[in-house]
Amino acid sequence: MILDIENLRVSINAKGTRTPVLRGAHLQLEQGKILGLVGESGGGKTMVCKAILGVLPESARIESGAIRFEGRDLLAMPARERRGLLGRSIAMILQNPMTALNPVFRIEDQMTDVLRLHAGLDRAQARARALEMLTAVHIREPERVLRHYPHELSGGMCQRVVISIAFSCSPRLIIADEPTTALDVTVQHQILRLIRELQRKTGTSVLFITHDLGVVAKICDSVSVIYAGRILESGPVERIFSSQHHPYTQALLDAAPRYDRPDTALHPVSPELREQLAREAEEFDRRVDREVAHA
Amino acid sequence: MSPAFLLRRLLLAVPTLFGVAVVVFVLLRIVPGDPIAMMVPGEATPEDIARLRESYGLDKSIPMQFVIYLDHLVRGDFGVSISLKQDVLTLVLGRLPATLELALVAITLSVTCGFTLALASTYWRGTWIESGVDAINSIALAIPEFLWAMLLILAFAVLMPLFPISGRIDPMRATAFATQFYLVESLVRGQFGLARELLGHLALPALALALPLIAVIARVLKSSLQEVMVQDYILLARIKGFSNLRILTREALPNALLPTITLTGVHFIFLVGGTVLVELIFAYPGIGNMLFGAASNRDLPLIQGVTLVFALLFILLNIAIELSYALVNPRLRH
Ligand SMILES: Nc1ncnc2c1ncn2[C@@H]1O[C@H](COP(=O)(O)OP(=O)(O)O)[C@@H](O)[C@H]1O
Ligand SMILES: [Mg+2]
Repeated sequence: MILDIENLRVSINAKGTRTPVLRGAHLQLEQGKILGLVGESGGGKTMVCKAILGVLPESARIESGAIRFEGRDLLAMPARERRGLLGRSIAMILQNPMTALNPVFRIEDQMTDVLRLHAGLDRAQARARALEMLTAVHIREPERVLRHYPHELSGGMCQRVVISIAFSCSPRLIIADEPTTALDVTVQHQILRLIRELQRKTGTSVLFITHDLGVVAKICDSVSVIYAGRILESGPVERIFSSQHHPYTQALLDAAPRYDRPDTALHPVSPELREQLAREAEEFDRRVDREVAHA
Repeated sequence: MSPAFLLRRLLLAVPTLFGVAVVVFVLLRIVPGDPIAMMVPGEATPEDIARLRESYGLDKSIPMQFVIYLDHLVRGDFGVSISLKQDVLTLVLGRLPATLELALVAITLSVTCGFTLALASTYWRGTWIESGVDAINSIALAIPEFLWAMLLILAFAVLMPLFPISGRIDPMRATAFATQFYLVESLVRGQFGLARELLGHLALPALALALPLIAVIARVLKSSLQEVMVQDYILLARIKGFSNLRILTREALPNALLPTITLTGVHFIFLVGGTVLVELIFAYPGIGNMLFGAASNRDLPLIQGVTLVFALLFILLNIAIELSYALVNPRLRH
């Protein structure tokens, strides 16, 4: 188990009131596997990523829980040591590639800085490694791309660069937060295939976040379904797609485009189901509050 | 930045300078006051006055005077000062280096202090350091440079006599210089004792000029930094494992520069304009001080000369500011 999140509760302070955004999340990612975290927008997926990386917004507070990376609880680790893992052992692919790269620096600088910091390479070695990585993400003319600024590249190209940065220091865990959501449909497929390919080649474990169960079916080994900060269901991909499951998962399945059968109608999640889930979430909060009050 | 752009901007300066020349010329002919009456002794006869008037070309019609003025101007002849009886260009160029050194020290001070305050208050956000910087900014902004000049004199020259009140350097020592750029020259020659004395004289006037600009830079840079710090690429930098200091200075700062230059650029021009009053208060021998003397003597050619030089300074400063946009923003480089 490379990543084991247990009962993670995070709240956000918005205008004086604390709102729970993660209500006891559980996640388990096995070494060398891809775990899909799926749910609608606003469900708390990005919060999970930021909690793992320790980059939650200032208004957020971790109420309880544990985030174990290779058996060690990140939340109990000294800040310095925890930061030492970033870039080197844990890397991330952001949702919007067009804003993920620093607009005032050339691609070369943004690829080599992390290599020089973590892999101890000198300028020439880091450049060679950057070229190697750009080739690995199937960028033609990598020499030319190194000289470019981000605004001179397309979204797909930027995402390839971001992916190559994430993989460049051979991290053991990569978190990909909706890495294809901001891209054109044709590019989405290429990027998905690329992540799968690199993951197979390097054996890196990946936490893959998406709102699209169709994507999960394509590249994940197992999946967890999140709604309103709670994990409703977890399991191997085959089981989620074949057997009995939570009504929300079913609703998500109905709402996902079927790439194999493009003519089937899409069914959005029904308002009744949303209401039921909201009630459950509230009840959950109350129960937790009671438990906290008793403890 | 293409040379063509630079050339175009420099060519555009010509009509601007022409406009300034016209406005100043006309204004000086409209405002009351007679330069000749102010220079002649009481016993002068009307004939004496008429003769003097003629020798300065003041007997001709105003349009004719202007044509002659322009004609001389394009040949590099700025005329002769009525009160000082010397070539205006020589006078102005002799004093300009002192003003340039003052403005340069003030600008360096503003940028250094402004940046330090903005970076410190962003780095230590939410602590007493941030509130302290905000308080300093509000005070520095609320007081104009000439008032600062008086307050600084009171505090650091009178109550605590740490700095000289006036002048540029002990006149006995001024003979040691080959150029008028005393500070630059003493630094180049490695005469650090002299440089220290010059800086001692510059400290209070430069600080008075710098304080409002320090506050403007600190405030604008701080708010641009805060906007930049929540961007995705800063998040990516944190995820790369960079230290907070490195993220602030190497990832965020270059992005915060552009809005800062855009929003503070005009204040650099205010600073140069502010040298006139500050030089006067500190009896600092620059062109601002000379302008004041020229104005009280109705020395028309000298006023016109100094004004044109100020206009040229403003134009060059504007071009420098625009050049710096391109320097900090790769999108503008093509
Ligand atoms: N900086 C923030 N301040 C206040 N609320 C936030 C902030 N970021 C996210 N949230 C809230 O937290 C919840 C989870 O957000 P997020 O993790 O971004 O969802 P997802 O990534 O699944 O779309 C949402 O309800 C969102 O409104
Ligand atoms: Mg998200």
